This record gives sequence, structure tokens and C-alpha cells, in this order.
Amino acid sequence: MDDSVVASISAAKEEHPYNPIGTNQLSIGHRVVESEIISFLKENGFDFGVTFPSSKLKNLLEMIEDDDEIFTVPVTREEEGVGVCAGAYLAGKKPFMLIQSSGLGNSFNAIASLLKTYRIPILIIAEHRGSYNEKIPAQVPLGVALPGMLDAMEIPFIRISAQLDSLEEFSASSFRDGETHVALLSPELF
Amino acid sequence: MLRSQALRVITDLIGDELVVSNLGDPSKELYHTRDRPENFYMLGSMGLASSISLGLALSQDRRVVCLDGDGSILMNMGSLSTIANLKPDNLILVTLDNGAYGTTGNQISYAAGLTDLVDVARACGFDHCLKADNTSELSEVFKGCLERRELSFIHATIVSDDNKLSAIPLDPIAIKNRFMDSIDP
Repeated sequence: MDDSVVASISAAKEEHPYNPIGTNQLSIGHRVVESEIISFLKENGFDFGVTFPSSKLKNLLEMIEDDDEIFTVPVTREEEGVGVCAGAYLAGKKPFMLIQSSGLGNSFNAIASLLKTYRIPILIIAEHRGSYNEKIPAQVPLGVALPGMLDAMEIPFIRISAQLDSLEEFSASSFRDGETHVALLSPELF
Repeated sequence: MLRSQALRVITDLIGDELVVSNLGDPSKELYHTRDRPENFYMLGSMGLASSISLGLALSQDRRVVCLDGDGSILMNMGSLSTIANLKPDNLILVTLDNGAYGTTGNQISYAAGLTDLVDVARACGFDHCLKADNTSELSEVFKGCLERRELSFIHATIVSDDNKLSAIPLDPIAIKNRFMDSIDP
């Protein structure tokens, strides 16, 4: 287990000696899922990440930024990140993006005209906003339409709401085909 | 200075640098001026030349020259912030500014209005910003950038050539493959 996970569990135990899970249950849960995602990235050779903040990805973004094995570039808009990832791929890196799903909407032309046209495969991991217990109405229209939009664009995607197990095979086969692919993480994971 | 003259100055000075050229006329002009495997010709994705260049510069040691346009810089201005903050010392960002959307019929851009792209770059955090209004200035400025290793922004004022350029007769996959091979043969 990652040191930071161990540290966060011991901190929780200290704070709630009779109920080690206690009020920190969520933050412990977060870090476990997030450690799994970081392990997946490392074990599969992802060495270059582009990030844009997303509320449920807060801890993951912090952990990735602190990780010396994965270089990350925070961008100002997700479409920009598509370009940065493409450049990294051309130089031999295995890039991924960590964003919220609204940013996919900002990126469709770049995915089509750059990544599809030149067959540049990157992995886009996006928190699927508007799909589960969404509090912000503005997130809903795109969040609901997104799977249909990805289908129409012929962008392979997977929706993950419980286990990360399926991600490895999905990503490996998409890379083999030279396809940019999307993992939509349901907020219920966190 | 005509765009073709500006590109001639630049291509005469480059050695093994990787070049990313903006979609439309800059890519076509670069192809017709000096085609080489180390050129990555963009065919679409307006605005992303500087972002692709950043990804390249951060991922390998060779110098990267980005040939961007004023309209594309305006479209992805946040990229200037990202680049200036990451500060790769192997990136030279050249903005060929004709104050217009040349490929689509010369509609005026805001770079011809109140927006000064050198001020924008400086405000985004570029320390090394240079201007070139003619071929001898561009030659001097570009040579200087090649000699030092520092993130640089060059603003070159150009006018579009009148001649109609033919399309690049290369498949996008071929452009990508030979470019990647030229980095890591």
C-alpha cells in the first residue's frame, strides 16, 4: 500500500480510536481508489500526464503531482491538453489525461482532427459529471449526452462504477489499435 | 517581409531542430520551402501548434521550433501561460503575425487591432521576447535564440504571399511516422 494511504489510515485511527473508519471513511476510500489508479498507470507504462482539476479527482491529482515517476502538466483548458499529449506521444511518451468529462466536450475537434487523423493514442481518464447524484444542473446535459457523443465519434470508452479491473485490458487493446480511448469514472467510485 | 521570406530565413538557419507548423498556409509554405522528416505539419486543430510543441519540448532534449500564427495564438492563449510556467529551455515559439486569418480569406484578427501579442506573451511569463519586422532582424533574432538555450518568443510581422499554395501531398500517418522516426530512428 502507498505510504500516504497508510499515513491517512493511521491518522484516522488516531482521531477515532474506537471507530477507525469514522468520519474519515470517505477520505480513506478516496485514497484507496486513487492508489489503484496510480498503480494502474505505472504498471502500464504511463509516464506523462496532463491534468485539469475535477472535484472528485482532488486527492488523485495531489497524489499524482507528488509522484516522481509520473511527469504532469497542468493545463488551462482540456483541448490544450490534447495537443500537449500528442507532442509527448510523438517524442515516445505514453500520455494520459486526467480531467472532468465536461472537458471532453471542449476537446472533440482536437480529438478528431489531431488524435484520430494522425492515429495518436492517448488515454483520457475523466470523472463522469452529470451521471450520478449531480448537484450542478449545468453538468447534466453534456454528462447525459456524452456516451452517445463518444459512440458517434467512434471513440472507444468504458464506464467504471465499481472495480477498475476492466481498465487494463480495455486500455491495452485500444493502444494496440492506435486509438485514443476514454475511461469515464463514475463519481460513485469515490 | 513575406511569409515565404520569413520561412526561408528560419529554414536556412535550422539544423536538427524539430519544427511544428501551424495548419493552413504556414505548413504548406514550410513544405514547399524545405520539406524534411523533422517537420510536423498540422492539417487541422487550429491553436494547438504551441501545445504540441510544448509536449515535444518536455519529452525529449532536442530543440523544438513552433511556427504559429496570430489567429492560432489568439485561439489558444492559455497555452502561453502553460508554456511560460513550465519554461522548457528547448522551445522557440515563433508567431508569424499577418494580423489576419490568411488561409480563410484574410479576415482581420485582433492582433491587427488593440492586442499586442508580445505584451501578451510577456504578461503570461515569457522572459525572452523578441520582435522582427524584416528578414535581417528575423535572421539576427532567430540566430541569437539558437545560440542560447532558453524559452523564447519571437514575434515576426509578415504579410501573406499572393500565390496559392498546393496542398501537402503527404498522408497524415506518413507525416507522423517519419517525424517520430527522425526523433528516435
